Amino acid sequence: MRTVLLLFITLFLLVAVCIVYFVYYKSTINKRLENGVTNGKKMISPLWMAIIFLIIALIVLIVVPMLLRMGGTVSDINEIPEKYWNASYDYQVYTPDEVESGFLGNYSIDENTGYERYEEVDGNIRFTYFISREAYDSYHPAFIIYAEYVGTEDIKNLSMGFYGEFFTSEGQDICGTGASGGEFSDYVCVVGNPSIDCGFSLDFYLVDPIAEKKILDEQMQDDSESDTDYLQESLNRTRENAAAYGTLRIDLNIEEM
Amino acid sequence: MRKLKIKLRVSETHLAEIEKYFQEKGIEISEDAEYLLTESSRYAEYLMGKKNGIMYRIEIDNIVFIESFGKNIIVHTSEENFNIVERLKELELLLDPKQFIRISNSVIISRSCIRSIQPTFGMKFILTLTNGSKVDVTRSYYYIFREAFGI
Repeated sequence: MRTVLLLFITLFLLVAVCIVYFVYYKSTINKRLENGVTNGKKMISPLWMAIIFLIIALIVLIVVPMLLRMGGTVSDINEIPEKYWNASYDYQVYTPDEVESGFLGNYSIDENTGYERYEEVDGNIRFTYFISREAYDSYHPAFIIYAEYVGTEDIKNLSMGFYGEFFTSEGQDICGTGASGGEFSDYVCVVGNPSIDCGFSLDFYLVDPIAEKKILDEQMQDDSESDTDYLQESLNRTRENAAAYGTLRIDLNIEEM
Repeated sequence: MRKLKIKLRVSETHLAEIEKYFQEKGIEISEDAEYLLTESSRYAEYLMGKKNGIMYRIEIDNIVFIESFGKNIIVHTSEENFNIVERLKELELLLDPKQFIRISNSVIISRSCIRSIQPTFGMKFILTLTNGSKVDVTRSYYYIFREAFGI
């Protein structure tokens, strides 16, 4: 749609410029004729002017957006300070069964040694989370988040989904991944361990099968031009259609080694 | 044997002398002649043209444009049209290029008789002349015309 509009505007400008030049050209050559000037500087003919403007229009339509897109990509990368480039950003999501049977069985939703406990509720989702007070090490997670449904509706048969993203201390997005599907029971546990001081945001939601299909259908028809727009649109759609949707945004304050 | 006819386009000072020379040689001087004798670097001051079977002298300054339709060559002045026998190629040599310019294969115009120029998006101009006639500067003569008028 935006491309069609851009094409239309460019075409309109092209025609307008050609008409204006044509009128100017006609008036100038007739003035020269009237004044008997035969040694004036030769003007570009309207045909050549139209060709020149057509070339300019093509450059504006094809090359400039291409350069802007390239420039945008490069500048997006450059905007993130170099110290973030080589760090590792890792998080996993565990169901209650996986928590109890794995290493997370050693952690508790109430208290964990070496971690600060916090609690936040957003959109019927309660986030109980722990942030490590210690310096980074590869054996202990930097954060542990428990996400629970605290609403009153029946959540049986609802499936869950999430999107987690790391961001810089200045709030710029670094990287993120998400997934959806699978039945929700009691809570999920999100564990992450980035190797650098940064932030983490978690969008957690519960959807019924009808809403899930609707979200997926709309997602298929999304023609957003950039990945960022596509993701944002996708999250907005999910927020509108989900039975429960909560967002948590935390600063990790990791002491770097 | 057919008598040879020529027409003269020479200055008044030499006219009588040249006429006498050719008459002595048995050559007839006539405006209907196929052959033309001109003085070098001298352009015609008038053309002879026919209208309703009568021959008229057409002053160069009165000519707006000259066009050809097949074998007919018509001289347009601001009020009248005349048929002449000279071809456009001959007229190009006869007429002062400072005063006349060829704008297509079939039209020569008086430079001073252009009232307005209508450009087009193609390589063509449409000229309105002082007698109201519209004539085209065609593709072949487009650049010559632009050069001549500095446009």
